[in-house]
Amino acid sequence: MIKSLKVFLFIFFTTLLLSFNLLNAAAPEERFEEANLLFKSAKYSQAIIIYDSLLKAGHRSSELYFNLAYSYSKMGETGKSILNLERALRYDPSNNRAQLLLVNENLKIKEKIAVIPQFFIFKFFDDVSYFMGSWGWLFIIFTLFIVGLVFLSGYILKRDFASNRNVMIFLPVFVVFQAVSVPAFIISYDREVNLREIVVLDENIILFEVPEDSGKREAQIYEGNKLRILNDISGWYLVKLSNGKEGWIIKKGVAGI
Amino acid sequence: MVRMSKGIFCFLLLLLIPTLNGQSVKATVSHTQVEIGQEFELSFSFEMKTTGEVRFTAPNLGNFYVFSGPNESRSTSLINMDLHVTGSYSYILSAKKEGSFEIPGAIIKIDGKTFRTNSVKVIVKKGAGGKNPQAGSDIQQDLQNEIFIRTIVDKQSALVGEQITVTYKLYFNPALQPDNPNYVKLPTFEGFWAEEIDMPGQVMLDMENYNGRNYYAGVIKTAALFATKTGSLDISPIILTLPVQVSTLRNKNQTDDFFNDPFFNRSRKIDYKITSTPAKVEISSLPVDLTNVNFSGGVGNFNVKTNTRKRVYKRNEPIRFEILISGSGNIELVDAGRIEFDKSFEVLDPNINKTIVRTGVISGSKSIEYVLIPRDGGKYVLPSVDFVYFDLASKELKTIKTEEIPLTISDVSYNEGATGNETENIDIFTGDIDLDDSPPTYPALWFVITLFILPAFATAFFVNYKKKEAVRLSDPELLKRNAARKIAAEKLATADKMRKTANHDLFYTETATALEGYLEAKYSLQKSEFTSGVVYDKLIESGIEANLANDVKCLLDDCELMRFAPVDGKRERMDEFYDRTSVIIQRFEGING
Repeated sequence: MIKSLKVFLFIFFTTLLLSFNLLNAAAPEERFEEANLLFKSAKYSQAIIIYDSLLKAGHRSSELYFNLAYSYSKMGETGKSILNLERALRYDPSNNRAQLLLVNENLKIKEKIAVIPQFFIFKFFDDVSYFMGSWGWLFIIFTLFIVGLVFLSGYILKRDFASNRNVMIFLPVFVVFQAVSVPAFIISYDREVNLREIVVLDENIILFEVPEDSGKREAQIYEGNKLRILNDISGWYLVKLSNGKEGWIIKKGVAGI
Repeated sequence: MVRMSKGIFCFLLLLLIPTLNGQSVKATVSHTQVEIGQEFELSFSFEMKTTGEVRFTAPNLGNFYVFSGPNESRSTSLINMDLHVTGSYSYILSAKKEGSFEIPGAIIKIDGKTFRTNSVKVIVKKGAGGKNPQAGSDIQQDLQNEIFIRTIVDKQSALVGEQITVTYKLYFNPALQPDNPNYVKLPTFEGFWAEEIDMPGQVMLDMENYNGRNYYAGVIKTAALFATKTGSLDISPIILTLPVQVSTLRNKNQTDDFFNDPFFNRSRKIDYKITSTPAKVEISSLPVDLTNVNFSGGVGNFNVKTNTRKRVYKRNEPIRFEILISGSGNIELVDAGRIEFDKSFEVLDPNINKTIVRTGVISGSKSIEYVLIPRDGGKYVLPSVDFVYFDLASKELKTIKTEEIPLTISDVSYNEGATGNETENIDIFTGDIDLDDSPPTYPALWFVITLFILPAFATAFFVNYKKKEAVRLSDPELLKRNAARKIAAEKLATADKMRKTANHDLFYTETATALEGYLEAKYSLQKSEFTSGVVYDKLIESGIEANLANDVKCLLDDCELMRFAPVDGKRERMDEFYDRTSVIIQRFEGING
């Protein structure tokens, strides 16, 4: 009698526990699918509400940001679409769909700020640094560093593998690889740690020469443009445009990536 | 102690200097000596280092006419990231009477702190125009009945929003030949919405009899006014200057009749300043109850229509919903009110366009165009607009209700076709997707530094250790000893194996070679010297005690015996031999471990 009761209790609690787990685990995924269905039936504004609620609940993923961005894109809200695509790429820089849609959305910007070409050496390192994140570069530098240490110690201790010939071959290769990957690491590290960017969400915002409403107005920046924050004082951002221009904007109608 | 407090005081003083420099106010005048009627500028300027609020309280300027002001100006500059704001409030004044006047300082409040400017002194002298100080006011007096402007109002009382027509008419003596007037101050019509009525380019002059005298008269300005508040409202005057030829012989003190002859009738031109006669109108409120009515503000006679360009739209296609109000009356002040659209429409701020016909009675049309963007497909209805206005003819409120407009929004998006880019082949992410990516991380700086410093140190230690070991290994004695140990260990291990497999022939050979090899390596003996006697001698020579050397000799001899002589118990004595060998080797090891 007692044994059967024990068995019953065991089964009861296990099912209870399992069902709770399943319910908790399934809820966000189900809501995600629900939003996807709304998207497919072209109810974008309702899909956005659900995607937003998932984000508010603390879920973050490249795919979630992408779906939200695509919904905004369908609604014609270029600024919000670009903002969320950039966020999606922060979480997964290799998100192909986000890259493709971002190119497309950037074409919709009313007046895209021109990008000034960089000096070719800087451009080379900047381009190279995008191959992988700072972790990837760190791994390469570290591996090379260890191999270098092994060779160095071998050379000092006169081991076979560190013969003069081998060292002559290894040294230039080592120097070239490190000369590329160390700057690439520094650039990508700096980008990941220090880069603060915002996207314009309002139809247009004003770039001021000084942080003052009555100050000289330098330019209008249209929805969807990306700006880099250089400084931050109460109510104002000092921003740098991709064309090299700097100025102040009011902290309104923009959102950080 | 005293010295220190002095230092602190100086330091505090230094701290104080910038704050004193931070804000300053000042009053200046363009002329300190002026004549009656001469215009001069009075300016109150300030400097500060914040962008805070500035409040200006003007001083009493009762002794002067204020032509314009206070005119505010402000400029901001950023020097070394330091804000620098300068600004001023200025007036254009002219003195009313002669004398010495002190203009008291103005109060300027910057970020709650109050500053008072210095006062300035202005000395006013008599004289007009400067050239002929004696003429002046006499001429003004003389011309009062010769040139004037009448303000003619078509009604003395009106309702709020009802049109009142004001006409400014210039009268002058036909003998005078005025040039074109210069407007000094156009009427501002406070409390009214004013619309100037179109006039022919040139003022048409007619001969008119006024107060029993003949004048040339011409309308210089006509305006339609619509009161926006009730009460007794002033109609602001128009002020202008008219260049007039006046004869200097009009001077009353003239005594010399000879020069009164027209031949000598010298004349000069003066700018005669005219202010139109004041006028007032009584404005009363509308004789209807406006509570609980969505009153548009319109007074007059209006008509309203709503319209969209088509009835079928795509999703995201802008719908232009136009409310067109037309008619006569205060069209400018008319408002269609708030309209509640369906929630799925995104409503942009309306565009308002007016066309006003300014002939006699003001009429025109006002178009309020909403841009609606339907976000979802389906069937919708644009609501009707209730337009309530006050009809002047029947003196009561009238309501116009427009028709509802049904709309069909298709599910096809408008934007997709328009951009023409290939986004159709991109699909959203669906299915089993991990909604919780790890946030983007980057290596911490301490981690990066440690990652490189630790292996560098480890390698340095390793290399250092290896080098030390190499030095140690290069000692010949040590090398010999180690080699001997190695050989003995190897051979003994083989012997042990033989013992276990009971291969006694090989066992004794191995045991012997173990001992021989050990001694060979350790004491640099030659293979050829290996007879027990020679070994004994060599060992004694190397300083080994006789006891041990003897044991070695015995063991070697016994091994020889076991290997080559047909002796019994070869198998049984293997253990004994093995132990003897290892004990001897251990004893050697014990000598110089």
